[in-house]
Amino acid sequence: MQLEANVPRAEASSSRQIPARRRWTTAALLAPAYGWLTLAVFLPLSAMLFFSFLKAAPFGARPLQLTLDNYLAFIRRPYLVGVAWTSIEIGLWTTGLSALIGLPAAIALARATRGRSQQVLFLLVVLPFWTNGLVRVFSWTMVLREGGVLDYALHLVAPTAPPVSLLYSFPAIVIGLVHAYLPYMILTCYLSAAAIDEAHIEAARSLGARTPVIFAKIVLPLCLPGLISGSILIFVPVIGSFMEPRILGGRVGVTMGTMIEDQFVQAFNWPLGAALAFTMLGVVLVIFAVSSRVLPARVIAQ
Amino acid sequence: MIALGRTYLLAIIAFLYLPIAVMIAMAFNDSALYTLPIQPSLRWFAALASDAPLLSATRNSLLIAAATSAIATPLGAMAALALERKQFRGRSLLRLLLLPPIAIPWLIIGTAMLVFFFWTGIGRGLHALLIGHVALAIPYVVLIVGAGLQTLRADLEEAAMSLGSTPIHAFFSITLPLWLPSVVAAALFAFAVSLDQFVISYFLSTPGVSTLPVEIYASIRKGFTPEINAISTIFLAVSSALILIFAQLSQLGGKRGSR
Amino acid sequence: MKTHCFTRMLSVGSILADIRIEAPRVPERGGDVIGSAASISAGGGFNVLAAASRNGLKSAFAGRHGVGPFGDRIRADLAQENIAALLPPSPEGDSGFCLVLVEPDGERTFITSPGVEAELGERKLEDIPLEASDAVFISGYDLSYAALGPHIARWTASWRSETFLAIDPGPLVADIPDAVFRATLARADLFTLNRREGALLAGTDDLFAIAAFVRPRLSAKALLAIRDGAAGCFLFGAGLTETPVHVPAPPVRAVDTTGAGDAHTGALLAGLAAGLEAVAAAARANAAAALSVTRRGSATAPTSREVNAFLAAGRNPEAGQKDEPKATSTMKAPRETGENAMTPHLNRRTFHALFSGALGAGLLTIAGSRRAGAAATEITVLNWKGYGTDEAFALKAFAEATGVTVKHDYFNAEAEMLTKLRTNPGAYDVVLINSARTQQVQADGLIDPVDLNAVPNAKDLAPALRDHSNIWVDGKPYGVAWLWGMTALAVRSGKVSDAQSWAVFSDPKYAGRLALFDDSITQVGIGALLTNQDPNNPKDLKAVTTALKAMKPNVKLTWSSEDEWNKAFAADAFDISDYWSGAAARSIKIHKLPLDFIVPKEGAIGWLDTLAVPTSSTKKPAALQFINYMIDPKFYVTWATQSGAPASTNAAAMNALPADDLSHKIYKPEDLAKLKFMSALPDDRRQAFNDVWDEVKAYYAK
Repeated sequence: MQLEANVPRAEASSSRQIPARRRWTTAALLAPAYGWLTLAVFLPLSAMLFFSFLKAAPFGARPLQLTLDNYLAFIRRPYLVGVAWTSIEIGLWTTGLSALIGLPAAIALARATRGRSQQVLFLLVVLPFWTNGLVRVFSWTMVLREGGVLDYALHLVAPTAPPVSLLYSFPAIVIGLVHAYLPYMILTCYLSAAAIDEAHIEAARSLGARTPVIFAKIVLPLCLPGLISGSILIFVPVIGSFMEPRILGGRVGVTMGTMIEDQFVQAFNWPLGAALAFTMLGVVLVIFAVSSRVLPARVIAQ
Repeated sequence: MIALGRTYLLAIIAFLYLPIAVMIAMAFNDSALYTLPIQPSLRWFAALASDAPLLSATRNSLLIAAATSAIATPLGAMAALALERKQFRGRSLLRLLLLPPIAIPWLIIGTAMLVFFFWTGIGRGLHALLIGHVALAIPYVVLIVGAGLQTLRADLEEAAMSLGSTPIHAFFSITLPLWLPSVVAAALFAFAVSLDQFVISYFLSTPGVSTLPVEIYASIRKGFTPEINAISTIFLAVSSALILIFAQLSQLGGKRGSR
Repeated sequence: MKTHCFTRMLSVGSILADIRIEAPRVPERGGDVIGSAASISAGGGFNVLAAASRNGLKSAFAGRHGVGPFGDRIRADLAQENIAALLPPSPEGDSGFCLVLVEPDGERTFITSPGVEAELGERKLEDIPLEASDAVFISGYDLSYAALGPHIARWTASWRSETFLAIDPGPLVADIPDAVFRATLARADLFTLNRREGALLAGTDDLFAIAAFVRPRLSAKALLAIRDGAAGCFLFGAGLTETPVHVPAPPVRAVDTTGAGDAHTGALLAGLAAGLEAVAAAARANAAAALSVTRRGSATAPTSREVNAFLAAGRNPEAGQKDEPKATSTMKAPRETGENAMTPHLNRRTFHALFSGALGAGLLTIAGSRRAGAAATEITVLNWKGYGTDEAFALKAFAEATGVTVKHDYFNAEAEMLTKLRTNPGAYDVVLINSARTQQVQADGLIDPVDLNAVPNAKDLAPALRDHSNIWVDGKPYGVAWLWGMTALAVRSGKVSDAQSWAVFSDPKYAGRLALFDDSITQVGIGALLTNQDPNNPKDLKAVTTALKAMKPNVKLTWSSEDEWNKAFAADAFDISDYWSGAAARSIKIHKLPLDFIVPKEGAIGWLDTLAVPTSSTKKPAALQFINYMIDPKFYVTWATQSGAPASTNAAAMNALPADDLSHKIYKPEDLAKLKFMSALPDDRRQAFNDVWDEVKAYYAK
């Protein structure tokens, strides 16, 4: 759904092949991954989708009663609208900041480093991911809390400064999430930025274009595919996240993710939890459907 | 410009490593409650040495992560190739279908898998864990490899073919080498996704067979000690050493450095 | 109790020759394999005789034996063990034999060829010269044969009353004709069987159910012994107390469980003959059986000297070899259920089929194979992590005492416990259930009622807790009350001194210093207490919502785990919180956190945790044994003093705590009246509570 406009040449090349064989090749390429996903994700999720129309989870002696009530949750529980908005806000902030920080980092990685140092830097970006997410979140609490690492470091520099405590606040959630998801943005943008042909930039430069212009007219559009892939990889999971908001946000950390978790863990109301999750998925899909109609048009316009 | 870029990169890396550094520091801190200032101690490493369940959980995690990466990467890469290079009906739908595994909170997917696997007799255990992890890693692989393919110059393939190369030869001689970095990156991320996956592991592992994230998650109520930091530290040290050796031996980052 | 005065043991049980061949595999049809080791020895009914004889009881064989190489072998083995053969060799043929093919993994395959012992022939049991001081051992095999069984029953009826009758029904217990079973049991002085065989009779392996089935059929003076593998044995009747006497077995590393039951029975009879009390004889029998499982083969009963040495050497069968004592976790003895189920069982069953089916002699039957060496009992407990059942010292002690090892699976929320129970039938043997959830779990058919008689320590439980209405459904307890505690106020010592009411949660003095447990039932309960309502059923949820929302300026964070609480409190993130009593004890004791635990004047929310047995458990006896250990004062005192624990439901355990123990400060008798125990919530009310709390949290977040 994103950026099909950017790969017309690929399609031109593939159209040369014999259609029947091509169809088989395509099916063979897709079947393993989607077969696996069907077994492990789509079928289970279909069951969950079915649950979301039930009055109660189908266990024990409870009769199956179909209902749409769960999907009316947002009407019955007006406070959920505010919670949903908070989640989207967190998603937008996290995605936006990751893009703002990650894109330059990716371009720097692709263009300001080379050879071995590039490889090493690239791996250094990935490596933090090889630790457990929960451990990382708990480490952030130690950095952000009053008397924590940040506070401590600040008072080494400025002993008279007031105590700093970012923990249990909205910024804390965003910091934790940006940290958790930034590498995805750097990675996808790096893949785009690394593919930019030096000749384009040289040509523009020889025509007298200055750096900001080159960035806006050449680098940014060519990095857009990576930026968009990265945004999907970040925005989508972030609005459903519950660990970072819960641990770093304190009382502020109430999101759709934590609300859904409550339905599953505390109320044992799977149907409502599933309905909330699918509503959220619907919102995500709408956002992406809209943006994929808007974005390629702009890319083409350039 | 170059210098500015490098400085910026180092700043980003500093940001990424800030909590990692704290994690490592706390592994050497005597306090079980992670209090500051740090009182240097190796007691958590000593405790770790005799904590057989934690060590075996770590071993399981590594095995599953490696297996996940080894399975999800080729599967996802093949799918990405089809999605990017072939034109067929339903392509948009298939792309859209990559989103639910990422968008639906893990908790719900985990519950759904548990119930579904129970109904179908797949049951719990390492095999179920692997099925779940691979499924969750595939969308990441497809998106990362796809992003790499999108920016790959398909006209090179075409040029090769117009010079008499077969499509297969063109793929292997032109596309694959350029494509490899994104595949390697995807493999690294698939590994990371699996390592981080506590919810699904938690639901699908059988008693006695545990993974590191499950041990950590189950410890939340009672309290996890800096032993977890210690094992994470060792793990990080070993994996960075391995990666650096690997990077020394191969052109892992791709051949773009020479440009 | 009666002292048994018999000096000789007779057995009529058939003896065949066991030809044992160790081979890499069973040959395929038409194939051939080379065996690595082979031996011929007397088997079947020989084992009990040998065990009795080795333990000092004069023994004699009253069955038939043939002329020929197998008969010779059997007579030689009998002579070797000093066992007299009462009948002359039967001239019409040889004794039968059983070909035992042992594969490297211990799998056995049998082929039985019956001989003279299988035919009743001219044999007249009445001709056997019985003396008043004889004990006769009869096995279920003998009783289940269509012709022999009634014959034996008539024979026993003709004895003088002094003659001692010992019966081991063996795995064919269910095949014994009812009339024969009734007649012989009524005459029996000792009835010994293993628990699995008991289950075949009673339909359940519950000890009491087995005893309830068997004991009415026995005379009052008879002794009933139920062998329970690594757990030892349980004795009933014969003047013992009404409750069963558990005689534990020493832990050993099992190699081969074949013949363990025979060793037990032989040694038990020998002990009784020597004038030992039943319990003492059973202890020796357990030791003999334990030694037997450390050896390969079937007639592996130790001699009385070996038993003495074993008992003297601290029960370590390898003590003689100066081995380091093995870590106890590896020294688990398996259940003995395998005993008769192995060689003797199958060859004799085959034999039985041949006999009763009147098939011609010489016909060879492949009996099929059976996995050898039943695994040691291992139970799985589903609980919160770090909540008592997984204390390392406890698992070690329990395994040492019973041979049962314990595995764990954990949950992080009660709903998750339900999910795991539902989706993993058979995986769990003991589960921790908050009594407020018991009825929900029971309604789903996930747990069984508990036979409190099988949990001896239950007699010491505080009646109010043991009989709590949360746990009992339809007059049956669905779980054993284990621990209780409360959610009350925890405040930072020195910083907060005026907290006597939950109202302190909205006291402006403590703006930004409050942490709340992220749990709807607890928070709605506190809201209800603040508004003078029943925490289990507040009518006015609006008032509860308002009371909770009023805390917003104070709320710094919500916590969901003890760990999170400790770390945040240690980092000075808050001064006031609702907290669990057991956790408070641990925070003070282990982490030295400066907190006071206060029961507010409105009351605190009490909870009662139970240990229950899932319906799908296949190891219920071991599960009950574990539960019994969990409510044992010995376990509780160690746990509470070393780590800090909630209050035990066992009054004896609480009394056994040191006088200065922290628990006495936390669980003050005068506070008990202020406790409001959580009770079962219907689904809709639970959802309503959750909605209130979600709305309040959303309000806090704004």
